[in-house]
Amino acid sequence: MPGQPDPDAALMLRVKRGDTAAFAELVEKYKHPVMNLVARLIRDEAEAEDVAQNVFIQVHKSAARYQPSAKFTTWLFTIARNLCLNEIRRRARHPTDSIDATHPHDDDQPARQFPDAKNFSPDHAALHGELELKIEEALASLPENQRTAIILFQRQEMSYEEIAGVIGTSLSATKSLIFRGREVLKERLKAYLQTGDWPSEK
Amino acid sequence: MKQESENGLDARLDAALRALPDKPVASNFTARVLDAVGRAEVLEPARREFFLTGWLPRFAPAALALVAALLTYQVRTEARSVALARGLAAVSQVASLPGPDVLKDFETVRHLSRAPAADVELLALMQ
Repeated sequence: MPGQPDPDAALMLRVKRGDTAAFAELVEKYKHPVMNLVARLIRDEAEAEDVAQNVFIQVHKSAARYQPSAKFTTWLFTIARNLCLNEIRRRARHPTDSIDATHPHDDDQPARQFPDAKNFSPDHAALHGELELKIEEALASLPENQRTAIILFQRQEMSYEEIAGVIGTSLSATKSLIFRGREVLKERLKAYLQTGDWPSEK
Repeated sequence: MKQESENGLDARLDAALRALPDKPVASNFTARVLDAVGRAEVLEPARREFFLTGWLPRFAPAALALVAALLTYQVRTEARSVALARGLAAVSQVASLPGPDVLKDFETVRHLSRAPAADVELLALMQ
């Protein structure tokens, strides 16, 4: 592996030798990034936590076969994306598991409860209101591969090469995905981006 | 002007995407993952034991019978192939007859090879 040694790869090699503390450290470090990707790919926050947990369970199961030939994050997010795609395909085969289904004993209640998206905690004051909802909607409208590429690029600050490794495409195709996705987002969000209440840099 | 506007949009989009809040994660997320991993490690030996004591004894005899049948079929097929090959080898020796050139003098040889009829009267006189 070129460049700086990967500290996460070192942790993962300890996990391979049965070090539970190293595994817990990796889970703590990546639970939010994994959850951010999973929730935005499967578009179901109620199920997202289960899928996110399964990502780490799969990481642990695969520890024996882990080789630090690529960055740990490339491997981790490849597992996350694959589990999300499995979940999306499972739902496509069983459309009766609709998130819009009503409760079996009460038609006035949804089968699943979701957190109120407008109930922002004080920690989320940096970006609030309609802009956040519009961004999430615009992201959700993108094809899965563009959405994945943009989330990993913008939120995880992964390189084009790493993202190409996760999605399984070439470097040029990855750049194209990110470019096209951003063009769609800019078009859909232009009114908000031009006039909205603007957060300062984090 | 248009370029500056576009750059401004790009920068604002970058900032907006980075500022999206993290999705909520349960406070006991890591504990639940460790618990699930621990349970999986307990189940794995149990699965192995089921394979050795449950599945394997039930299906091994049938599997062995199938393997034996396949081996027998293969041996017989090979024996037939060997017999066919030997037959072909025998035929190939016949193919090493002299060529048609030897038939050039066929008529001459045929006349020469005809044995003359026995002179019965001469034989009787000699006796």
